[in-house]
Amino acid sequence: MGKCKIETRDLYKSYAKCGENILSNINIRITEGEFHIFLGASGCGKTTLLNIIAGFLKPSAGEILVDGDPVTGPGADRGVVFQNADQALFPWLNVQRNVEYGLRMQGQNRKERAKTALRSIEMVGLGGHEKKCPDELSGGMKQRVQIARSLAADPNVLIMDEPFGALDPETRRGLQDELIRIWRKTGKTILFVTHDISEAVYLGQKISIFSSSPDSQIAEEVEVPFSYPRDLEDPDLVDFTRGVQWKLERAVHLNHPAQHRGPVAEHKHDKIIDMAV
Amino acid sequence: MKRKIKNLPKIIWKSGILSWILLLVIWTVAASFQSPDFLPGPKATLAGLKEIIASGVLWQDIRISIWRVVNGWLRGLLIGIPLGLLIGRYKVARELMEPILNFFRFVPSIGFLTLFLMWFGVGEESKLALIMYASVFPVIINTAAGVQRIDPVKYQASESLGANRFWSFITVTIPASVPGIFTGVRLGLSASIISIVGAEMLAASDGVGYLIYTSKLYFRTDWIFVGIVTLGTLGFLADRGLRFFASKALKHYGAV
Repeated sequence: MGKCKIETRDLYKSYAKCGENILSNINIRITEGEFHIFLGASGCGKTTLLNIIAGFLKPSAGEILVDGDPVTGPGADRGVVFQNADQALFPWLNVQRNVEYGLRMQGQNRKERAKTALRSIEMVGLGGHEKKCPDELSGGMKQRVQIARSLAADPNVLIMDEPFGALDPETRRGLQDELIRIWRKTGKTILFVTHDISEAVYLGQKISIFSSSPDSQIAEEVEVPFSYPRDLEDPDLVDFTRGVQWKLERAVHLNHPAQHRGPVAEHKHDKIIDMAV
Repeated sequence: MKRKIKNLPKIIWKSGILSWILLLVIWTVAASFQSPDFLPGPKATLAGLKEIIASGVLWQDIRISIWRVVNGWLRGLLIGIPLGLLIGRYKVARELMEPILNFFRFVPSIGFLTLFLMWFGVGEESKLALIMYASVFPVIINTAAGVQRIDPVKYQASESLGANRFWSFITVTIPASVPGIFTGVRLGLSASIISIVGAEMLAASDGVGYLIYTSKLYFRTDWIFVGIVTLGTLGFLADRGLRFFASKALKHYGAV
């Protein structure tokens, strides 16, 4: 086991003081260099947990530690790639200046900044586009700029909130491969939120499966025992994916027994999960 | 060549020239029922225009009015933009300033005319103060609104890249509020031009506002029309110029 990078202890979150909990009793441990996925249905609180780890939100109870230190707010040690690049990028800066932003905040001089920025831009495959402005780029390219911008600031952890959710399938697959390549090259710890099961099993080493909110919890943590690069057509991976899907379905119904599809269906699910895993 | 002719109706429609023709037609028709002393038509106004241009007064008046408008307007921006940024960004500033703003913005600049004359004298200062007063509110209000429209994700992005509060103000609040600032700049300019008439009516011996005011004394209704058309044209051209500038320089800020 490697060094523990991110740890939460008995974490709770509710938005109103006496309201129901969005997140309940969250205990996770993410190892250094791990590619970790938060998987869950929409509105299950996985983005809330991500925002807590990023420091944008404070937990209502419990602790969140990064490198053993409690998180008090956002910081350059945790780079964030947001879901919507149009919201997250600075449209008045060109690609290079966007990527340089974090380095500028660190007080690096112009020359150093440009060197690091160009290296990150090169790494995400945007070489030659550094003088363009975000509004001249496609959706996929904008996400590449976001990734380059986070990488350039050299964070310990890369936090990604459904970054490929709005892209067409082909662009999305290309960026997933790119991300795996970057992750293996840089060895960064990556925390990746998605509701897409095949994306989760294609990318992640470990998958935390969320139950639905209120009182959303991590129902299960699954290890993905496949080496990279993965082939989604690989029958073993297909079986595994199906297993994750059932686990997710079970997790979604965990807090809402009324929505169960009946005992027969559940029984069947359990059986096949045993076969699959 | 053929394609050009085909596009001609579209070009004419888009140029807005039809609006001007319509206005001229209505003006001509309306004026034809009245004596030129009561409502001078385009022709009579044009004759009056030639007369004042020949005497050299008009250029003088236009020049001094432009100088006053630009001067007062720039002072309004200098005060209004920083105040608007602070009010938009910081709740304390907002809660402190909002009641004051919402009180004074309903008091027209003309209401301060006598006071400003008393406080700043009959010279240029009182007129500039009046114009500044008129332009500062749209600037503050639109700048603050522009700041509040900024997507919180922009701040999150800047903070997770290591920016502290001061730097996120400099590198996010200011550039991201440019569309709001620009709206304030435009509305501030129109407020300045509107207020010039008031400023020059009572306490001036030159300027377009003075021209409009004194022409009444000579029963030169056509000169009043010249003054009105001049102000409208100045405002129209200034706004066009600002928008042209923004479309070139502020393209990536989303200002136009």
